[in-house]
Amino acid sequence: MPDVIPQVKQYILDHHLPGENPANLTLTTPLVSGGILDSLATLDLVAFLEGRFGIELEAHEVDRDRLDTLEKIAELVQGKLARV
Amino acid sequence: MTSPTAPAAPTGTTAALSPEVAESRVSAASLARVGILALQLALTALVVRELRIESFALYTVMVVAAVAFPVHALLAPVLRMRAFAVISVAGLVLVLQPKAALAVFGIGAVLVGLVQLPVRWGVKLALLSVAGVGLALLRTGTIPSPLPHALWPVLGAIFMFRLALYAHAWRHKEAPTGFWPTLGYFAMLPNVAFPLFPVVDYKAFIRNHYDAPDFLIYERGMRWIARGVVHLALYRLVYHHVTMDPLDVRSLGQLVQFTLSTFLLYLRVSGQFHLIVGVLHLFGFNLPETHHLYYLASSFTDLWRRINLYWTNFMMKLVYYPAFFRLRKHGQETALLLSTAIVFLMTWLLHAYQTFWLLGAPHFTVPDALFWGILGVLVLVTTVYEKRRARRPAQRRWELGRALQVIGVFTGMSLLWSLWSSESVTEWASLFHAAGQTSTSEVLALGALLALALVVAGYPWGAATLAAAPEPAPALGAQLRAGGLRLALLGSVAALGQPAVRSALPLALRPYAESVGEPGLNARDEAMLQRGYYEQLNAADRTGGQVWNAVAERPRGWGAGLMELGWTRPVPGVLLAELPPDLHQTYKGQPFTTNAWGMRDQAYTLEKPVDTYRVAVLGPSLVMGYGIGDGEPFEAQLEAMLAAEGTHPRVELLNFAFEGHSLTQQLATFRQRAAQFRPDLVLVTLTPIEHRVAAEHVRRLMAAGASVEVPYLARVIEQAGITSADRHADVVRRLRPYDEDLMHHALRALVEQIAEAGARPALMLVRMPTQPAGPLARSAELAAEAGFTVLDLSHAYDGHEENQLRVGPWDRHPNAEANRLLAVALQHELQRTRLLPTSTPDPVSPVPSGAR
Repeated sequence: MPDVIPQVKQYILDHHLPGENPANLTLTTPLVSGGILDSLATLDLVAFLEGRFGIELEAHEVDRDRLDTLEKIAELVQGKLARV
Repeated sequence: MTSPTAPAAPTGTTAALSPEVAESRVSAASLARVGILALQLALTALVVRELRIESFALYTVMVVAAVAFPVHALLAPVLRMRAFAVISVAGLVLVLQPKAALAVFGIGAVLVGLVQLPVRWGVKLALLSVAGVGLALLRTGTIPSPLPHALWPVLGAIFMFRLALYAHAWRHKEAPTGFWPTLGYFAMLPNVAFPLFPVVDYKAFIRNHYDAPDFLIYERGMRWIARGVVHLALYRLVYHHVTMDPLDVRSLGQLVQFTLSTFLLYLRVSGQFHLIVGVLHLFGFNLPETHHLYYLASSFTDLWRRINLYWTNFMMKLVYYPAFFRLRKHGQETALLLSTAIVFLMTWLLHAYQTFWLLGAPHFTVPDALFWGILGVLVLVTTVYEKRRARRPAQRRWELGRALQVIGVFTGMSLLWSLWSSESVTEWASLFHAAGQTSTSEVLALGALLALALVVAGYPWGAATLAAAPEPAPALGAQLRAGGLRLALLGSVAALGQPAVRSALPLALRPYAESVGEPGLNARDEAMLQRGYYEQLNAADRTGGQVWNAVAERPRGWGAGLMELGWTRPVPGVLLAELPPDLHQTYKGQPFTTNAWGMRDQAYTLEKPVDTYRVAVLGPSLVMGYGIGDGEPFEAQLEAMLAAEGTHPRVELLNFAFEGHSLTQQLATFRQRAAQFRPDLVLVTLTPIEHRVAAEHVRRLMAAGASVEVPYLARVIEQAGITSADRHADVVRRLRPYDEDLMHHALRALVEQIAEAGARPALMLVRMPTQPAGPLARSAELAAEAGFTVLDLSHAYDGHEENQLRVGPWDRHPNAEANRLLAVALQHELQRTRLLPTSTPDPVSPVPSGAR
């Protein structure tokens, strides 16, 4: 099982929070509800997750409940990988 | 009660009661916290009542919320969802009455039952579509419906969008769909008072229920309620003091004022939504913001993320993401663009769908299509730009670029909004003729406005930041302090509803206090209502303003005039139409009868009886009597008053008025109808909107291809270049340079004709209740110059609450009481000017000195 959180965190820092102190992006930082990931950024994240981890997400899975924090994203990815 | 610092467990809507979960810890501090919140809620209900915000239904809802909140807050967490459902049902029953509420529950049960049917998704969708079509046929009346007319907007507001989100949640098992949460979701307390309701997501409704400390949620809710009240107060200020009738836009400054005001009117929606979601917070629903500093959006996509966020989320969930996932095989960027385009197309169509359920007819107009089309293109372009550009570190300081972007988006949206709220594209485009007219003071004012906007818009208001700490649960002291401030705010706003408080304010502030304290219509909406613009109900919806309530309350068919109803007979020439003899109808809900001569009056002989002083009364609808019964127009009331006094000679007042009559039509009426009755005195009527009435007369003349036998009118029509294709707004603009010329000639011709007939000419200056006197002073000068004795009735309502003198909130024609006041004022004026004969025959010569 790949270590999801560091990769996703790095991706978000690089693409959506350039110049931000990495320590400020914690496991529970609200990404969607906090306005860091808008709809475009969310779809970019989906493309990243699918490409990097070889999973496939469905439209109804793109929501705040599943993608709002690094913790939730990791949970979603690991859940998908476990079913592969 | 759960601790104010530890997050409460979600109430788990289907969880069984257990002693642990049901444990309730009520402390004195908790009681104090609940108490201060309940007090604020009660004061909000008072504000709603005193300022007559929305409808009486909202007051009922707020009272229910204020009473139920403390009980609900002190309940064990596991009971709260059930309690909310019961409270919501109680609100529905109280507002709709049991029978209508039962109909809502019955229809709701069928729709929810269809969603929960254990059949394939396709079959379910087909069944739901059949049910939707059936309801639509009932809505249009194609299938006779036993449901009251007023029930449809409520039904529409409850089910038209939320059912789709509920079905989505059911399909993807996003949240439990048990009885109580389902009932609470659809009955949702404040909904019954708001036809326009935020599209609350079912999943968010369930998952966010008490997902944070109780008092954190309650405090946020109360803050948003107070913010909503402020938005609604600001809306009223904008509505009465900033908005303009497009026909009055004559300079660059006015053009800017008009354009910006149309977008600022959106404050009403954000105010309502804050109020609604605030109330939901007080029952534990920790829902996200509906609006977030939307006037400070820095791009069109940013605006989409800040304004009516529930709609954005609804579209993302049901349209954007599903479309994107289906299309992404064509490439990410193509899928993005097509999905965005589909979202705007669907938003446009769903707006029409919403209008259909709320008002009974869909809403498709060219300005509407252009609004959504242009906005869609702007968002598409911004989407591509944002997708391609490199993201740069967020700046926390003031930036000129950001300021210009924000001002650009605000200006763009204001322009689009002004297009959307325009009657036609031509009307909107013609506004820009005014751009070339300006003055130094206007340029300076606009420069100051721009400088202020640059200063404010350059800061990153409300931008996302990682450094922001999560909002802490409020300490008791902080909550009491904030509560105290809000009580002061709400109390001050409620006080503005009291005339005594307003009259104690400095004179300069009173008009603003009255605008906040009274729910009246502004001049533009009054004018449009009067000329039947809002007969197309969707026009009222488009403006989204206070007029919506007035139109919604108005009896069906109110706006149809006598001509539209076919109760008149055509007359060649400028008169166009007249009342037929012996008409017996019910008009505007009142008996409407004409005598053998086609006057709305009692029977008279053509020959003037001996010892009789005869007065011919000419004028438009407010003289004819509109929305009042036979015998109630002021001329009839005056005649009865004089008869009761036993004046000698006897006075007859013959009512020749007809709705919409301009001065030129009054002239024609005198010549063709009234002169033969050999009146001693002729009363002509002038209102503050004579120039609009004259313009509408010309439009009708041109549209009908009628011959214009009045030389001065024919000349002006030719000089102004008016054609049969011109709309009302075009004619008003073209005639503007000739307004005074037209009035001057009409008045002179009237005086000459009346004098030739051996009668005395007098002119009444009359306005409707709540109608400003406007240009009446200038009209009085022109009338006096022409030779009229001027009778000023514009103060007839002084000392009275003018809102109570209208035939209804939807129409400012004078009611029977207002007509009594007009009769008294007219009697006074006739005596003052010695035009009324006393007990001895009047020896004054019938020809006035000014008539030559």
